[in-house]
Amino acid sequence: MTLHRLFPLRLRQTIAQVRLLHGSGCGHQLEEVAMEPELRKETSVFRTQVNDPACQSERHLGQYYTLPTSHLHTIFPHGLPARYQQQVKTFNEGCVMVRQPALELISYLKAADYSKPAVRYLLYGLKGSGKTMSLCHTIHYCSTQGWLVLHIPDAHLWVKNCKELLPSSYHTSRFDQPIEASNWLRNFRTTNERFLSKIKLRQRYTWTKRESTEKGSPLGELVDMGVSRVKSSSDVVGAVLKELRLQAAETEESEGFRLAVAIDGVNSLWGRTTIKKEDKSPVAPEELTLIHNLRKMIDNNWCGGAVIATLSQTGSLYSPSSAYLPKELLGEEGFDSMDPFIPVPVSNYSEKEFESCYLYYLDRHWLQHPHSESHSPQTCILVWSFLIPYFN
Amino acid sequence: MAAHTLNIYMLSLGRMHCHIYGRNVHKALNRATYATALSTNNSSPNKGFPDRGSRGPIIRRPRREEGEPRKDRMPVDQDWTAVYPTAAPFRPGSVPLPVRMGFPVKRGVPPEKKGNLELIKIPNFLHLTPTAIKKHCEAMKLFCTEWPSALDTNVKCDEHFPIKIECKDYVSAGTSIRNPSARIVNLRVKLSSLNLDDHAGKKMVKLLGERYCKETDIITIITDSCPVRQQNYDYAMYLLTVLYHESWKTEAWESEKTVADMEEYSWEDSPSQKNALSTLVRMQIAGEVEGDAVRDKLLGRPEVQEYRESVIRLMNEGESESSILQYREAVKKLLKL
Repeated sequence: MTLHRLFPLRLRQTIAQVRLLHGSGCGHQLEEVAMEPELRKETSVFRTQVNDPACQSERHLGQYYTLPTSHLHTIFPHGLPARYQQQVKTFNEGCVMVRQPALELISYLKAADYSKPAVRYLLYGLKGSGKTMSLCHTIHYCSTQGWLVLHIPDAHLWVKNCKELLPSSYHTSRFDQPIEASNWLRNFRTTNERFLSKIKLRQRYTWTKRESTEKGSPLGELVDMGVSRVKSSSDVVGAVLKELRLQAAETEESEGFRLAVAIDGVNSLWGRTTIKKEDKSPVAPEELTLIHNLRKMIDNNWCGGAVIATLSQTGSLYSPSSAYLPKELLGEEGFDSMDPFIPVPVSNYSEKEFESCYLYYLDRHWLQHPHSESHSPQTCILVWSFLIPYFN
Repeated sequence: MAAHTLNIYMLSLGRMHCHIYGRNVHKALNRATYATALSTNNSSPNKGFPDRGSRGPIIRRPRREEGEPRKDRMPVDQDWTAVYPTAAPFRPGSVPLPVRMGFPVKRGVPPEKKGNLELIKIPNFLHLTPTAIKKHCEAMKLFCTEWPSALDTNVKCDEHFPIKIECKDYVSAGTSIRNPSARIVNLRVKLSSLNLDDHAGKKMVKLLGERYCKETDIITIITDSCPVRQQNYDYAMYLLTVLYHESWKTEAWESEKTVADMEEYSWEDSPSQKNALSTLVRMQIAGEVEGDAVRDKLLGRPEVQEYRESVIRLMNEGESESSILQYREAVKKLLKL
């Protein structure tokens, strides 16, 4: 647990502040009066109507905005954390809190020059602090701005528990993962429907003696082929990534587009795998076609987009549970590949954000307590959840 | 004489301690007397002693009266070194302290010192009071020389005598003055006081391993493999000499030193430098000619220097929130965000 990283003084101060608001027994009448009007003002402002990430600013920090349902299904077929998906199903709406790391990232994306090589951004933070949700917020922004989003929801899933491992036809020493690749291609197709017919292939791809995809055919055909011919789906993924990389560099006039590569759990690309070959020797990550191609995307030798990644210790293999800083989780190799990147720290909820969350749950009738209007359950929740977003 | 010898011979045959004084005993032993009837003579003159029949009582030297114990006759300003001049077992009558020792029985207290075997068993240092030590020092002063007046500060001592040898002597209240731990010799010297250049210093640190402390810059060599202190001292000096000479030599295989063997991270020729340079080159408008001149110009830029500092700090000092934030600012300036 992250107990040892807390700042107990802040926590005590928060509890002291919140306790001051309790009924009449305490003699701090003046402070009570001073606190209450502020709180009343904030009570109504935990939601914002500005649903477009591009228009959000610091004024909306700590407030929830609603993800339109259509976007939920197209942009995030596989991207949202499981807990959040359950919440969306329960509340019948997807609300995301506007937080500082996501706003910062969006401001960088707005300010960046896309004729220069792709900038790498890395979200890091303690467990449960909101890295994946910040990533999803940024992806929402990119989608609404018309970018092509390449979202790998959890790179850890590609390096463990592989049911089928095929030797690659393209490169003898590598291994294919047909199931994962075809799943991903399906979700990619859902997210980026409108680009599939616009982007034309620059090269001819031969899959087998009889099958090939001609130069100039739309990307959609390639993706459909990958979904149906599961055996060569990993190579299809590689081809898709390569095409997108080459074509993102063009300017918008000549039907170019901006490419956002969003990878959750990027530290798995340079770690170890739990996949074993037939002779029980472990497979190194670079021997997997999917990982090999993904690593090429992270290099900044292409222009016209950005790479947004998050580190994740949960789900990572062979890393200590207390590790959360970039170099610890990426390792030497990973750091050298990502360098120079911009690390964006994601912290736990501040008091204001916690208030917002609490009020949102009250509003959704998720917190059912006869005295919900007073603040004593809030102190309990505060103490038990220690301001960690995952536990809220 | 013969009777006396017989007496002793019979004692050594297994009789327990019986202090047989008197001259009548051997007479009694010479005569072979056999008890024919059991006699329960209650009115024996020596109560508590076995009935000796017609042999008569065992005459022992009369026991003289105990005097007052010494502790009751001790003035407050006495010379304690006269009571315990050397290591001696604990004498309850000589120690004027109400000491109690032992396990208390239920609802009781630890037993008193009189007749207490626990206090006698343990070693005591009653012969080594401060006054006694002072007297020892005074006696030893005859054999000592003066401390050199020029060495009045620690700094001067370190400068003239950088090697410090520490040996321990052990005293114990026991039968033997030997203690095997007294052979251990502890040699301490500062690495900076040795005449080593850069390569020799690094090699010395690698050879020393655990024996070198980076914070205090002190080499500690502890030798205990030989049985005698003199031998251990010679061995420690030998080790120091050998380490010094070996670290000055450069072996053929030292040229295979890899990046992982380096003690500190150096940014030059590191993947980080290559990445940074290639990123900057790509960021420049195409028109600049590639070459060493461009590279040097790029390296000379302040943001590159700042980036270099932050990466070195990250690698050498390890990660922390502040070093990551410094790195972030440096990268933002580098990429002009």
